[in-house]
Amino acid sequence: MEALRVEGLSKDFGGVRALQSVSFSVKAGEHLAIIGPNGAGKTTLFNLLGGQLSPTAGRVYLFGREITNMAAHSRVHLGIARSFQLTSLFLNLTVLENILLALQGTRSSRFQVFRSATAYEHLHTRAQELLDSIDLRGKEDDPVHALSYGEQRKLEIALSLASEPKLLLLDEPSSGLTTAESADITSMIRNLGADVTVILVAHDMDLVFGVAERIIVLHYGEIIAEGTGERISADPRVKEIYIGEEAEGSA
Amino acid sequence: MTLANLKNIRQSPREQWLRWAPYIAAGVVFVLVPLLVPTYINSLLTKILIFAIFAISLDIIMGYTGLPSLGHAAFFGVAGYTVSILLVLHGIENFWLIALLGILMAALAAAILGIIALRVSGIYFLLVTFALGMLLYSMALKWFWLTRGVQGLPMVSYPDLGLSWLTWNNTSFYYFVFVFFIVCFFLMYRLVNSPFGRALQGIRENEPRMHALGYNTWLYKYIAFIIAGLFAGVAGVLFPYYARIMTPYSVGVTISTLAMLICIIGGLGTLWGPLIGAVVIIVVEYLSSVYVPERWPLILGGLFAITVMFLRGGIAPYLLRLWKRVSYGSAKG
Repeated sequence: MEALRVEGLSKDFGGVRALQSVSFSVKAGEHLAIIGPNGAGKTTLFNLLGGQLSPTAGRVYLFGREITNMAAHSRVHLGIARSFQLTSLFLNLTVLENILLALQGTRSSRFQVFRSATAYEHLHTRAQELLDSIDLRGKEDDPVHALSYGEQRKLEIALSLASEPKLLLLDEPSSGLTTAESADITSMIRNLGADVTVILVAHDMDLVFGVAERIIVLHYGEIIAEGTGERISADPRVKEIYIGEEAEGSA
Repeated sequence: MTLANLKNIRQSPREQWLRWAPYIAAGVVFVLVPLLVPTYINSLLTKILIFAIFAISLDIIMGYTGLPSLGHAAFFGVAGYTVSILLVLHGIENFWLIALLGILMAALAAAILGIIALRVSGIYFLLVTFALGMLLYSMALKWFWLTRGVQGLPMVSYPDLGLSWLTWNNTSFYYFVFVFFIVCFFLMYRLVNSPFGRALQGIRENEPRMHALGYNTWLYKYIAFIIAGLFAGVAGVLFPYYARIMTPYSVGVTISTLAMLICIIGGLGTLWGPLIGAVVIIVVEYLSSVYVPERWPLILGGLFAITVMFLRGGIAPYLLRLWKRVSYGSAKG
């Protein structure tokens, strides 16, 4: 079954074409990585999939349903969730309050104006489970701005998992983390289960090769290569972009 | 406030007593003192409570949702004028009927103006609400056939509740307003601590993220704006009975600014901060009107500057810290 299909997606910013007629599809349960140099259009693509931006041209289908111009919050209710490259949390609220906001986002009780927010026991149980999964138990009453950067990154991912998404968009989940923390994230994504489709944008090749079954290479807003890890690492054009740049950099 | 506070309930009796002491003190002041003091003090306390309801309603959108409005008096004024016009020009005396209509008119005005004001945010929201407030002010000023312009609408009667045993005076009117204050405070307290209220705080902290978590943030802001207008309407319904006259001044930017200053001086995003702010501002305003009339704007400005410079975050958080230190110190000793 097809989780996501993207057809001829383009995005212009003024005169700059950030994304040029990109088409691909993702099977349900597949883990897809999108890589490419800085400025390749990866985050723009994510913003189009998440609904933060509207495309200039092209269409997006989620499980066969067109969502091209649907608002971001409505997409969440259809099963899309995303994390942000630059950590986007509620810094002055506590860890638990952050998680509860994320859990409540897809429940109808989010419009409840009279009942106390602390009265939702099942949400608290679920919140504790999520806190356990990111090793933040015991810090639930700390304000988020007091957490370390690594902890904030983990919380960022926990927030996007709270809605139990069918399609998870992870934008640079391991950026700025140590190798050990990055390995945690890798195993976390691997353990998500077969019903969660993951699209991942990353520069961290250990993470990409560790979780992705298929890789798409973006360069100047276009897909230049697509395939398994081995095929991508053997592709001469990809080598030119990555190794070529690295060779120049180290020279 | 946070869950941390809820978990720390296991305290010694002495600590529990200290915990409730501020509420008891406030209760004594607002429940018992009015029986013992001259009636002009009751009138002052009545004004404090009316402006506290009004300022707390502003706190919902300004403190909790992060939408600073400079046109909040519009809803206060719409409700006040609805009551005054129905009573003075049309002779409808039943308080419950005209109060209900006044509150509904305020909510309706918020529903209409909210659509315009919530197209923008931040400083632009401030400017648009200011402009809309000015618009209503000039309507109150120019539509002589409806509002009697600067002459205003004189209200000579106390609310007609349909209760023959009730004798009205400053003291009974005070308790009447006090009941409204308690009900409004309770409802707004429940609101800001509900999932809806938490979502408003999430929007204040990080609106794009709330959007990405599945919240229709525009709808939240719109509903919050209408609810705030509705409670401002409750204050507005009571106001002409207190002031004995409804004039365009009560719709104007002076009253909007006053509510904003009450919130900032008292402490935004706390609910009880605006109550403290209202006590401070209304009392100082009264004292200045007695001893140094004409100097009130200067004193208000000075008060504001002192709060912003030395009590960052307002008086309420400062008192809270002070209280924690005092109760901690005495619990140890």
